Amino acid sequence: MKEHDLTLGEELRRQGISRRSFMKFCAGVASSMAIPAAMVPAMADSLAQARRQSVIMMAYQECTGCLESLTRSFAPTVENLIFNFVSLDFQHTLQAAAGDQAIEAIETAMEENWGKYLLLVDGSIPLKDDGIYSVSHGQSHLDSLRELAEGAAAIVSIGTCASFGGVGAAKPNPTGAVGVDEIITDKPILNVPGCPPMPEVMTGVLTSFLAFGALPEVDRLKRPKAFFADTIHDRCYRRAFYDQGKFAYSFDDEGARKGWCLYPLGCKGPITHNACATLKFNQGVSWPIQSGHGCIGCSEPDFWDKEGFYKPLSAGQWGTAEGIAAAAAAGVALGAASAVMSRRNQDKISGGK
Amino acid sequence: MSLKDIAVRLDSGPGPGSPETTGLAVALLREVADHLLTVSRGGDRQVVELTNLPLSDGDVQLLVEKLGRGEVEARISAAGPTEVFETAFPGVWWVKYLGEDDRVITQQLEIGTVPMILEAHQEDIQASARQFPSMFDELDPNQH
Ligand code: SF4
Ligand code: SF4
Repeated sequence: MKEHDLTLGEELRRQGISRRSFMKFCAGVASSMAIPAAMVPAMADSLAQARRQSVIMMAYQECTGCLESLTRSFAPTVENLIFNFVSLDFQHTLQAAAGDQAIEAIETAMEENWGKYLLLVDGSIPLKDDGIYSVSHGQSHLDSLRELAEGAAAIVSIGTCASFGGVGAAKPNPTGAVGVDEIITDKPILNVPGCPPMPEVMTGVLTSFLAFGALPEVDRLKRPKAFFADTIHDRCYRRAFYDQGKFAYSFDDEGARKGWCLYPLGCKGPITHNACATLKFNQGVSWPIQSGHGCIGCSEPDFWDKEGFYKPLSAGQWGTAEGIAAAAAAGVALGAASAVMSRRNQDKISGGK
Repeated sequence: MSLKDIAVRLDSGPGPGSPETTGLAVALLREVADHLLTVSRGGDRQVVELTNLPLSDGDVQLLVEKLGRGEVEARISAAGPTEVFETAFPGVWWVKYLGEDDRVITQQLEIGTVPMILEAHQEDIQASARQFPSMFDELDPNQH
């Protein structure tokens, strides 16, 4: 219990991690979130004051790919510390407890942190037939989500399934699966879509929640703007070829060998918002387009059902006017509220420098 | 054999990997000049983030040439290495934060007296002030 009272700064000192290391971690996060570098010392100060945050992570209709991705992050030493600092009160794949004991762990965490815990969700939630297609410990995931959401300070949907329904919701969607925000409408919700989502985004979201006490500013689909504002195409290193009209038309033609633009091979980069073009995967080793395959649009709603990964955008169903309008309407209300919160906090922080 | 041994060559246009300059480097140098003026008048430390800019190899080369190398060079071991050098212009520092695998996490130009990562921070100084006296317990009393 005593450990729970330490601030992050005190915990760092206790573990012998220097302020220098911590500053470096903050510089890395700030750079990935486009937070001005001059704000790093203020961010570090505020983060050092943070107290342990209770986190409950629920896995619903999912494949565990999201968790696999999240456990591989970019600056292991300090980052692990931040992840260890939050008190992950429930995550069924990572924890030792099972069965009744595990359920008890959730109940205790909920009770002790009612109104304050951060709820992380991966996987979609089936609605059909009262949600009986996805059940743990005799409770449907639909009921579980409703119950847990009630006491949460905020919810982060991890991966495309929790954000938009994803694979579970792909046609013909036999279980009636949806994303979290189609069920919960009265809490701040942030989506970190991606199949899989990028660990750096999760680090950024968690760090800014700890440092600024609020979720970062989001776009119309509730995605953090710091990572999802640009399209893949905006940041693609093959963009110069697109602009010059130099394309690959098959995966083994001259254009492909020369690393030209993959648009004719179905690249969805121009309408896909994600950060892999700059952050890359596997600790910066590479990313899909660098390995010669077009973007499949994994961080956008319904990417499975857009009539083929290899059809050029101009021939496909992406970016229809209705789709864009519907998505815009769904994401506005809460998004705006947390955006205001985050801006206010940023002002506070830069003003306090 | 590892992935790195397989040679891959991409013919790029302007942008990362290209020898041509894009104009970004000159814009950055002007920004540094402004910051230097601010700091020379006693203003706060200024930081220019290089990582998220689509600098071409040519741009980076231009920055390296124009900024040059100065008197100080340092390597810091804290959460992986960090490389720092002062450019030929005192007060303009090149700071490269690397991961444990030597991959660049962020790269910045810092304009100020001493880069943030080189300074000893108050929290760490306080901790060492607390710890330091314990060495006297271990020292042979006859040597006092
Ligand atoms: S490969 Fe895709 S993202 Fe890159 S320039 Fe071409 S269309 Fe755009
Ligand atoms: S390139 Fe596109 S499909 Fe691939 S991971 Fe990035 S956003 Fe997702």
